[in-house]
Amino acid sequence: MKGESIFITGVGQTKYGKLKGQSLSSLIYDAASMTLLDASISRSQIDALVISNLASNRFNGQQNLTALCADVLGLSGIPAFRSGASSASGAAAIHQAVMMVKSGMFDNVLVIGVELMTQVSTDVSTSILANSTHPWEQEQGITIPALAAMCTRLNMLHNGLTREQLALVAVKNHKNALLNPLAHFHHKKVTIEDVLNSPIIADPLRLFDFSPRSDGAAAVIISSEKSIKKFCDQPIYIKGIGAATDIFAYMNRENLMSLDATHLAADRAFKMAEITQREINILEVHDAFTPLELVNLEDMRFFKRGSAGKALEDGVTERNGQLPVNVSGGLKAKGHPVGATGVGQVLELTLQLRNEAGKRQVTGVDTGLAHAIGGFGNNVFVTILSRS
Amino acid sequence: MNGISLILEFKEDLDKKELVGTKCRACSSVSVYPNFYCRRCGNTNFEKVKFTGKGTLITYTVLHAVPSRFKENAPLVIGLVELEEGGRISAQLDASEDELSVGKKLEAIFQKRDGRILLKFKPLGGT
Repeated sequence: MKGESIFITGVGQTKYGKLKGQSLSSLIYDAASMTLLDASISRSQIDALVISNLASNRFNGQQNLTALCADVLGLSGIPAFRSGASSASGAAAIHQAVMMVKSGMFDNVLVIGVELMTQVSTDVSTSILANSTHPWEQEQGITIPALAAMCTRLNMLHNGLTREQLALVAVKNHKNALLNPLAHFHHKKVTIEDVLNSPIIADPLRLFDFSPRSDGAAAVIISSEKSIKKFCDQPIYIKGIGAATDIFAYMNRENLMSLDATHLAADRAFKMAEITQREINILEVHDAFTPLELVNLEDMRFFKRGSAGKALEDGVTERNGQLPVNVSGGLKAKGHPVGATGVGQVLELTLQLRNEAGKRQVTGVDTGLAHAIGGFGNNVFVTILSRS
Repeated sequence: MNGISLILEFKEDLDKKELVGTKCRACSSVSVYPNFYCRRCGNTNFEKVKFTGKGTLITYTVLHAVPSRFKENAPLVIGLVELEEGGRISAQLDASEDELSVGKKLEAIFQKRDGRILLKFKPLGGT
């Protein structure tokens, strides 16, 4: 980006999964304290907080997370803000922090994403998640999975997307998660048969096409150029950010087969980063449902329309392929504690770029892209990171 | 025509078993659920369009994981319908999976539910 550079100087996250005995406070504390340790920065150097969370009001009866977070971290007194971009809140929070530091008003902003959502029943969870849809859609009982299913049907009809390709996305991401000790499904291997035999959720999508409900927290520290000189050995550059909304209700869009907001957000991020798709060597893509990974890779123009599935079949997006996607396990297998998800994606890319990703390290990566979706594609955020 | 009345009128018409949308006076773009700004040209001047209720199925799904208040009706058959006058609306479908295919001709029906009217579509000419 032009002018002063902005950096990620610390990352940390809890395990993702059905976490017993946790509270919002304990998750926030765990993720944040690990992040401060990773950054080798003391709490007193943090000058603002940005919190990301989907629905603590309905999941946990807590509607004042900003003040809670400052208090839990012994940072009462500093400014604290909350992002709200549905399932892309984590990415939105990072973008907000980048803008806060870029403005010159803050030097070190701690971004914390958290969700504690597995304590309610599936029915209640389904209803809460459906609050991200248009009022009309909500009144008809149309959930985001239903919208994703309708979009998938059209891609199968017109763009050659196959049921097997969708299954492969789940298989790949689960395989990747076997190497991620903090993943929700760290121990779960999934085969194509498992996916195709799993119960139908929203035809043609099945249970194993869906990311799980997960608890968890992830945090990053966004710092100024001035600040990193004092403490950071291996700062990672935020090269570009881009965000875009789309028409809220699926029924009102011209494009029913892919996400225009993904295309727009990615273009904006590439423009700010002054690079193209060619420079990206690793991606984290919002695979809340398996079709989204393939369709959005095409929306970001990494593959021609209808070709991302074949690329996966050819191994291109596998961990050892030319363009690894969701090495962390993605939302599908690493997990989807909604407020934390977008932050966790940037954490993964940071570890990969620093060569700290352990068994799942991809060799020779220097530029990564994280893509996060809010609602059914109506608020999308793209973040580009690099080593230099 | 202000914002509140556009949506209220749409819902009141539905309760009277009528499907009434809007047509932009500047560019003639038709919308079923009302917007405040025309999506094509940004104009805020609309006239009403009374739909026959006939349309074509663009895409659909059978939803098994339904929100709590629709639990007794699961699975829900849901579709996106393009009306013959233009404009699209998503709605529940009164049809079984075998009756459905992309491109199927449908017509609107109005079903009583919880003291309101729920808009649904069924195959044209079907029972």
